[in-house]
Amino acid sequence: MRKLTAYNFLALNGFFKGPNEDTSWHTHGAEEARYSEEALAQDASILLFGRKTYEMMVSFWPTPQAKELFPEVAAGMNKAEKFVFSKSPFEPEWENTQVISGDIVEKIREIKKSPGKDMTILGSGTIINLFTDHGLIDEYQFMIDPVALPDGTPIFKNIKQKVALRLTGSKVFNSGVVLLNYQPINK
Amino acid sequence: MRKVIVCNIMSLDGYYEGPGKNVMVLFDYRWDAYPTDESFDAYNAERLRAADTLLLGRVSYEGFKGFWPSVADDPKATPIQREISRLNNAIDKVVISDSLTSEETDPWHNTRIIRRADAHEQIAELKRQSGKEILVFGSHTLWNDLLANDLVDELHLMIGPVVLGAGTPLFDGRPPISLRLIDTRTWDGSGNVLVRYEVSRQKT
Repeated sequence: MRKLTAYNFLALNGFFKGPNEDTSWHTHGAEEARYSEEALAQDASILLFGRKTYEMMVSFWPTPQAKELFPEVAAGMNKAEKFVFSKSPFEPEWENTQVISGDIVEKIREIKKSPGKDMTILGSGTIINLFTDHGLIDEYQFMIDPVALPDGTPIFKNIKQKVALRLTGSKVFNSGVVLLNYQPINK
Repeated sequence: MRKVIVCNIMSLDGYYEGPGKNVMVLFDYRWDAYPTDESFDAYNAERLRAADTLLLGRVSYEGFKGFWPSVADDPKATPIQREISRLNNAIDKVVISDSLTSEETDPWHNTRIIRRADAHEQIAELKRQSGKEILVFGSHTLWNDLLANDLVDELHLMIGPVVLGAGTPLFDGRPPISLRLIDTRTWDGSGNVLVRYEVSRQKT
């Protein structure tokens, strides 16, 4: 059984995007970049996105600017195998990307049963909510910024039921960001 | 100069309480997974020992007053809960309310009532006095207002191991709040994470 992880940057009050999709509040510290580099360098996971997050990612990571600012992370992101969920199929411009459309819950359930790499969802609130409702997520990893936003998009929205969690790890970064790892208990 | 310290529990997704103002949903799941977890009580007692004033909004004051006074003598309560009860009974309490009367403070006669219009000035005055910490439990309406008016020094938030998806948000949507992480704490046999922040002072 492949493991499915959801990895996200959150404000202290549960938003993963501020007003107008703003993510500038997130601390992109050097230490966090190293953590992402190390995770990507292991090349252990397929990266999963919803369409919106994919559009955001593809507009940044393949650019010269990304290669200059975060060379290791950009190389890792570009090289990694990627799945993007989309209501309708499209031709992805990002390298190593496969589009999954149709009944994505059933498709991910099948993929989890098949042999292969683990998977990590980045961003993608809609996908996280859908997969949470179907009990498909094995681990949540949240990078919590020391900021409370006035408004924005909550990472969990309209989930069908509460999710009880087991705390499996925590890590503090110099920037004040706290990484928290949880597994759902009903697993 | 004394500190105002806000000590609250919240869900991982930032809720102060669940739908219908139900605060117990923050604890329900903990008992299944972490049956011996006393970290919340233990940390509250730690903060009470460091404080000499408990500052509350009316709703939290009445809720606490309806529960804590008799716990000290309840043989079924845990030792830490009996200690919290004794500390809550002994500490000087300040309530911000326009409706509460002094007759209604029974049996907590060591309660001072401050009207809302005087709250900022009176709390600033309390902060200027010497003494131990000024502690806020619960009282999210009150402390969000104090936070927006630069009267809170630290936020000590216990993040419970549950996603609620709905409820009363911990923060009420005022301008963005920048915090500085002081430290974090976890406990064996607990899914709680205590994150302690210093409020970044507004530039004047």
